[in-house]
Amino acid sequence: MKQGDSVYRVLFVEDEGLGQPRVDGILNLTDKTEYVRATSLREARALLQSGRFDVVIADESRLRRVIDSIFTFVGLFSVGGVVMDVNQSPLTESTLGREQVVGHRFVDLPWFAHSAAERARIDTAITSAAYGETVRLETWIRSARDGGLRCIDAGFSPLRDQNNVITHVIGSGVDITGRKQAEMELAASQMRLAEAQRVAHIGSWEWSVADNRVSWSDELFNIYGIDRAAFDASYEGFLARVHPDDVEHTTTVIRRAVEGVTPFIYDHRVRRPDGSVRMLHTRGEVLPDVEGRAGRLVGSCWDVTDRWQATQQLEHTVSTLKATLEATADGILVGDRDGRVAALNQRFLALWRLPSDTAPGTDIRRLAEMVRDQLVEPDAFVGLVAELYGDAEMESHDIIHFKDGRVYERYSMPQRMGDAICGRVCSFRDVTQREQLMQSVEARRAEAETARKQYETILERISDGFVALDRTWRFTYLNSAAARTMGRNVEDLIGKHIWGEFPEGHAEKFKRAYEQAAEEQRPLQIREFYSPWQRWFENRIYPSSGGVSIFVSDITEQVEAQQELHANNEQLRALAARLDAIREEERRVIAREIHDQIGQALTSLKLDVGWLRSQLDGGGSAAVDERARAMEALVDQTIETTRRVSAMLRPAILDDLGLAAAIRWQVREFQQRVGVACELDLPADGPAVAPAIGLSLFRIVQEALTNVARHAQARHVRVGLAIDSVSTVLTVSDDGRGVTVEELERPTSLGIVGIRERALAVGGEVTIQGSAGVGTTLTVRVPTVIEQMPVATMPTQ
Amino acid sequence: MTRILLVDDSDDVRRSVRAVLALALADVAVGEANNAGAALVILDREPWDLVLLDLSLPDRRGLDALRDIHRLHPAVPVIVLSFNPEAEYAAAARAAGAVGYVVKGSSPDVIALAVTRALS
Repeated sequence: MKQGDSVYRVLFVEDEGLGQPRVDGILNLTDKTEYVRATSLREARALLQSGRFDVVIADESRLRRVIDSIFTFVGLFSVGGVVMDVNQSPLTESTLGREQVVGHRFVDLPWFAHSAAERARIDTAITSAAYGETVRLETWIRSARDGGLRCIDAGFSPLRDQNNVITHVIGSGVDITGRKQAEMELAASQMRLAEAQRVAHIGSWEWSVADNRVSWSDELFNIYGIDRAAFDASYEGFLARVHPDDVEHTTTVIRRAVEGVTPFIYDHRVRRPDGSVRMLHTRGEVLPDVEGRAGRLVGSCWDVTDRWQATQQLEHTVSTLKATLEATADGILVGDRDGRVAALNQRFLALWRLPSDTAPGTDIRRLAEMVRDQLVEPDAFVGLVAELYGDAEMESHDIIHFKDGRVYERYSMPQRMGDAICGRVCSFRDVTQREQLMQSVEARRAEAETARKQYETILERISDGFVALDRTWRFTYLNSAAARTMGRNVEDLIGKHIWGEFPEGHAEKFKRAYEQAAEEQRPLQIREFYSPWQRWFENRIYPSSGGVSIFVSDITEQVEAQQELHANNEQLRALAARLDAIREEERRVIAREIHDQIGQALTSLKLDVGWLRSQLDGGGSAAVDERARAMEALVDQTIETTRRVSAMLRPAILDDLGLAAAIRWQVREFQQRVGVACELDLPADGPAVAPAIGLSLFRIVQEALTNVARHAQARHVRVGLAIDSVSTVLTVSDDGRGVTVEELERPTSLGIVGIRERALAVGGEVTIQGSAGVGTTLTVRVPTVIEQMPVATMPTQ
Repeated sequence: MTRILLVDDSDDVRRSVRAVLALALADVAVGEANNAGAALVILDREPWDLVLLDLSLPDRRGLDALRDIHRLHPAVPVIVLSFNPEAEYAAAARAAGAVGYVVKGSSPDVIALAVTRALS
C-alpha cells in the first residue's frame, strides 16, 4: 500500500472459499477504495498487468498472504472487542507474537498501554461498529518495538453473516505518522513564517496572472491596514491601494517584469483606509508558465516606512544644514581629521578672497598659505592653523587682523559624532565694524575715565563734602571732606548702605529729602540739624538715573551766627520798638500839652480880644481898633500853628475818635495838601481797635501816603480798612508807577522798613505788591484786638 | 434868667467865655465846673438851661462826658466848645447829643450866636 495516492485500488478475485461478508469488511478499509472484480486467475493476472493495484484479494489462503503482506493492520474482532485474527505485518513491525494478540481484548494490547484515553476511544469505536456503525478515527499507538508513538488512521466496521447479523468487527489501520508529522511541521513552519513576517513587517503575495487572482499573507493585510474580506483580490484591487502618485511607476515596473519575465525590485507607497501612508520595498519574481510566459508573480513587501521617514527627516535636516550654511553671515569651514576641506560655504570663500571653485578635499594648510599675505601676523595665523589640525581636541577663539584694516573673529572647535572627533569646524565673522566701534567706545571710556578722575580731583579739592549714592542707597563715591565730616575712612564706607551706617532714626529728615529728590528727579536743598554730632548741615541733593549725589556742608557756625544775628536783631527790634513807643508817648504828651495849655490860652486870648473890640465898638480910636484886629489875626494864626504842630506830633482825633476817623481826617488832609484824589473804604461803625494797633496802622497810613506823594506819581489813592473778629486789614493802593522789587528790598527804603517794623511790633504782616503801570498795593494784616474799656489815665493838669 | 453851666478845665477860658456870655445875654447866670465829675454833680443839684462843654477834660474823655450829660439830662441842651476844628469831632458830638459845636478860636459872636440859637 502506497501513501500519498488518492485512490486505494483493490483487485477482487472471486473464489469459492471466500465468503462475501468478509470481502465487504475489507472493502471498508478506506473511503476511496476502488475495486475491480476478477472471476478467474487469468483475468486477475491480466488486470494486474494493465494497472496499479494496492491490494489483490483472492481465496482465503491467498487472502491471508495478501493481507499479511500489506503494511497495514487488518484485524477481526469479536463484537466484544477480542482479537480473533490479525494480519502479520503489524505483528512483525511490533515484534509481537500472534499468540500475544489473538484471544486478547484489542484495547489491552501493548499498543494502547500508554493512554487510557486512547483505550477508551478505541473501545467506544469497536462498540459502535458492533452496533452497525462504521467508525473512522486517528489514534496514537505506542510502538512495541521502539516505544515511539505512531499515528494510525484507523477504521472499524461491522461484519455481518448471511442473515445480516453482526457477527464480528473488522478493524484496520494505516500508519500515517510520517504524513502527520509532515502536516504538523508544515503548520508549525507556516506559523513561524507568519510570525517572521509579522515581526519583520514583511508580507508576501502571489498573483496568478492568467486568472488575475491575488493572494496576500496575513502580514501584508496588516501592512495595508485592511481586512482580508475588504480586499478585492485582483491586480486592480491591489492598484487601488497604491498611493496615487506611485500607481504609474508600479504599473510600469510590473508590466516590464511580466513582459520580460524578470525579477524586479522597487519602492512604492500605499495608502491605508485611515489615510496614513506606508512605504513598501517590494521584491518580486515572475514564474513562467508552460509556455514560458509569466504565469505567476510571487514576492514580498517590506514595510520600510520608518526607515523611509527617517531618511526623509535626515534629508530635511541635511538640506536645512546646507541652507543654513549658505544663509549664515559667517564664513564656515569644516575640515576632516586629515586637515582637508570637508565642507565650506561661499561666505567663507568671499571672506578669505579664495577662488570660488575651492573644492572639498583641498588641504587647509595650503589655503592658509594662500591667504597669509593678507594678514598682519601671517606666521601666527599659519602656526595656529597647523596647531588646530594637529590637535583634534583643541578649541580656540581668536581675532585676526588684516593689513587692510579688516578684523575677523574665528571660532574653532572639534566636530564630534557621538564621542568620536571626526573633524573640525571653524567659523569666521567679519567684526571690523564692531572692533572699530569697540575701539571708539574704549576711547570714549578712557575719556570718561579721565574726566571722572579730573572730576574726582576737583571733588577732592573742594571744601564741601561730596557723596554719591546708588539707587540702593549705597555709597559709590565720597570725597575725603565728606569722610572727614563723617569721621570715617572713604574705603570703609564705599559699598555700604548709608542708612545702615547712619541709622535713619536720627537722619530721618535727610533720608526723606534724598528719597524725595530721587523720586521727583529734581534737585533739593535742605538745612538740618544732625543730633548725634550736634552739627548743622546743608545738603544739596542732585538726583540722577543712577542714584543721588549730595554736596554736604557743615553750616553749624553759619547757623549759629545767624541765630546770634537773629537774636541781636530781635533785641534791636525790641529796642527800636521801645524807643518808638517812648517817642510816641512823648509826642502824645507834648501834643496834649500844646493843645491844653497853649490852645486854651489862645482860646481865651481870642475871646478876650473879641471882647475888647466889642467894648471899643464905636468909641475907640481907629489906631486901637487896628491894633485889636492885628492881635486877633495873630491869635488866629497862632491857633492854626498850634493845631498843626499838635496834629503833627499826634493827632488828637486818633485818640479821641479812633482809627477810622483818624484815617478819614488824614486822607482828607493828604488830598488837600498833595492834590491826589482819594477814595475811602472804612467801616461806618463797629468795634474800635486797641490803641496800640490803631496807632501802628495810622502811622503806616501816614507813611504809605508819604510814599505815594514822594514816589508813586499816582492820580488816585484808595485807602481801605476792614475789621472782623480775627484780623484787621489795612490796604493802601495807588495807580502810580508801581513799586519795584529792587525798591522793596533796598535797605534805604526806610519808609517800607518802618512800615514792616511797625506791623511786626503788633504781630502783623505786610505785603507790598508793585506792578508797573498798574500801581502799588500795600496790605497790612494784624490780629484784631478790641479796645479795652477806657479808663481815665490822663493826669490832671 | 438864663442859667448856663460852663465846663472847661481852663480858668482863663471860663473867664473869657463868661465875659462873652454876659455881653451877649441880658439876664444870664453862669455856673462853672472844671471837670466832668463836677459838672454832673452841679447838673444834678441845680436846674440849667444850657451847658457849654469842652471836650478836653482832665478826668474823662469829653465825648463820654457829653453822652452822660445828655443821658442824665436830656432836656438840657449842650453846646460843645472844642479846640478841634475837624468835622469828625462835630459829627461825633452831634451823635453824642450835642446841639451845637463851636470851635475854640472862634470869635465871641459865634459863641453868642450858638448859645442864642440853642436857647431859642
